[in-house]
Amino acid sequence: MSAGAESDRSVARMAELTRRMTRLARRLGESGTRQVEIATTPKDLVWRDGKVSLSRYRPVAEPHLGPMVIVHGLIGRATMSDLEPGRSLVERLVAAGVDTYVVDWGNPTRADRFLDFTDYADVFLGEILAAVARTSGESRAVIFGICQGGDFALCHAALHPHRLKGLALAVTPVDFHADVEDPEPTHGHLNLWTRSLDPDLIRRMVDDWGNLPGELTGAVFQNLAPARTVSKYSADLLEIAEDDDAFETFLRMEKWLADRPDHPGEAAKDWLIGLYAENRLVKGSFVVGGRPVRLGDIACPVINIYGLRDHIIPPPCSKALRRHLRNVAYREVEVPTGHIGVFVSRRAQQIVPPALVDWLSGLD
Amino acid sequence: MSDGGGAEGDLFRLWLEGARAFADSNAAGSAAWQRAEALHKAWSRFAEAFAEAHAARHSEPGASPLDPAGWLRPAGQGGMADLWRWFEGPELADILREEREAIRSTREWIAFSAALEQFRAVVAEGWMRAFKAFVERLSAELAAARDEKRPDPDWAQMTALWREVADAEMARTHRSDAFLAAQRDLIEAQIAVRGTLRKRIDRLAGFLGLPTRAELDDLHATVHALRREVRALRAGGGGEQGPDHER
Repeated sequence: MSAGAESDRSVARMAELTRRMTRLARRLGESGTRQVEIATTPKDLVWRDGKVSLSRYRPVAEPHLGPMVIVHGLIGRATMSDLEPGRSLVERLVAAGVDTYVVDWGNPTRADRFLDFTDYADVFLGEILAAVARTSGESRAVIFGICQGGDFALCHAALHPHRLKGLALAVTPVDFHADVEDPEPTHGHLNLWTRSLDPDLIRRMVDDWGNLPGELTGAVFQNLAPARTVSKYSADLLEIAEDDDAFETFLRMEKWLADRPDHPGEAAKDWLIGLYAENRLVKGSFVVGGRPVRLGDIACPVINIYGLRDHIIPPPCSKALRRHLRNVAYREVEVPTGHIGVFVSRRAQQIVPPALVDWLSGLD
Repeated sequence: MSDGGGAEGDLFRLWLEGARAFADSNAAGSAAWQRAEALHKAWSRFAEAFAEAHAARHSEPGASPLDPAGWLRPAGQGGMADLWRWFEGPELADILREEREAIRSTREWIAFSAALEQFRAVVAEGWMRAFKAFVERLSAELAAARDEKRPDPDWAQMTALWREVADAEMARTHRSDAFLAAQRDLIEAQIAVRGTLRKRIDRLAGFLGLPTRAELDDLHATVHALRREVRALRAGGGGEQGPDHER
């Protein structure tokens, strides 16, 4: 390429970059003056205990599947499964006739630091299932546990095998040491980092903080892919400056990420020590409600959804569930996305809701 | 160009060369210089032997008093840790309590700063390796583009390359023993400094009649235990514990 042609290309690139930066600046300025809405699918409160609440999504058609309760973890807010119209897992489930409920754990404060896995996985979920039974008239429900919420659901299903009609899981870690089976070097840092800490050090760290601050967990997640974190607010933004939908999705995702609650201290110890460091769930020695959780006691059909490129919960950690179940129908669904992409990506929208609806249709 | 010791090393070498030239300018000076050099070499050999012997006895990094890494160590034996303990003195019941706490919190703050710097250094090394790898990959890509007479990568392609290279290198850094050790040390140092500060603030709060964190935690623990008891009682009396069909 001649020097003149190369020079022309450089000028054209600079002009293009400048145009995008101008467009981006205008967009950011405009978006600062309006409220970005997420979780807009209509729902009604059906039960509350302190900060914990259960809502039922308003059916758009006569519900003929479910009832299904979506249970998120304590690390991200429940709004993620209903991020935006058109790309909302909840919206698609409701449209398909699933009687859908969602649990909101609220924003824990220092007053909640003593809540542990027994409270969430046994006590609250027990009361939530009772409330669903009263509202729906169905004696048994399906729990759809997401990430840590999936571990709450697993514990409940194992401790109370006959309460559930089915157990759906998404991006849920089961074998917390199976990250070593994942050949992808960018996967499983949370597992490695936690294992490298002595349980006593983790205990003292959580006691020191009281609750795990949302800012702390957010910073940890940012460090899992630091270059991507930096480019998100620079090159990636320039890339989507011309795309209305992509920019709107970016703002919605940012709103969800910014709303990161504190994690109650005692539950954090169960999570980091009992599960991440000591891997007790697959050893049958994780104690909830005074009883060991034995995954082999789960008696209902299970569907297990995982992200192939999930760097937070490596696929082998989720897929390990198959090895620990006995005599129950088990289905696995692989989604070619990362952790959050399982719920919000366009590709996942074509895979996850249909798979769930198909599975629900086959339940008794 | 420096071959070790940075700018100070360069200055020192220049000064030595100047001194040697001055000494060489007369015979007596030259002899004196040679004697000084011999003495310096003997002293260097002694110092090296002493350091080696010490390192053998203090195998942990920073454990030897000759190792600067140990000068700010908050705990353990040897190095400045012993000196800090001497500063703090024995724990006495009725005197010098505040002074002792002040020295302790200063020491722990310095130790935390050192741990933070060590953590940052490990991460910064990762970023430097990432930058080097990126430049190498980009250079290769530009050379290939010229050889094949295709346009250079645009900014989006370069950003994608940077993200790929940097995240891969930082993943290696984040899995390294150095990073894991620095992370552990940072958490330990943070717990220590926050704990000591909290103790001092709690003492002040007690003096002013304000509730301390420990007192609030006691209260929350009591409320939590009571709520569990109420739930259990309610469940026993036909309340709403568990789904209806199990009651």
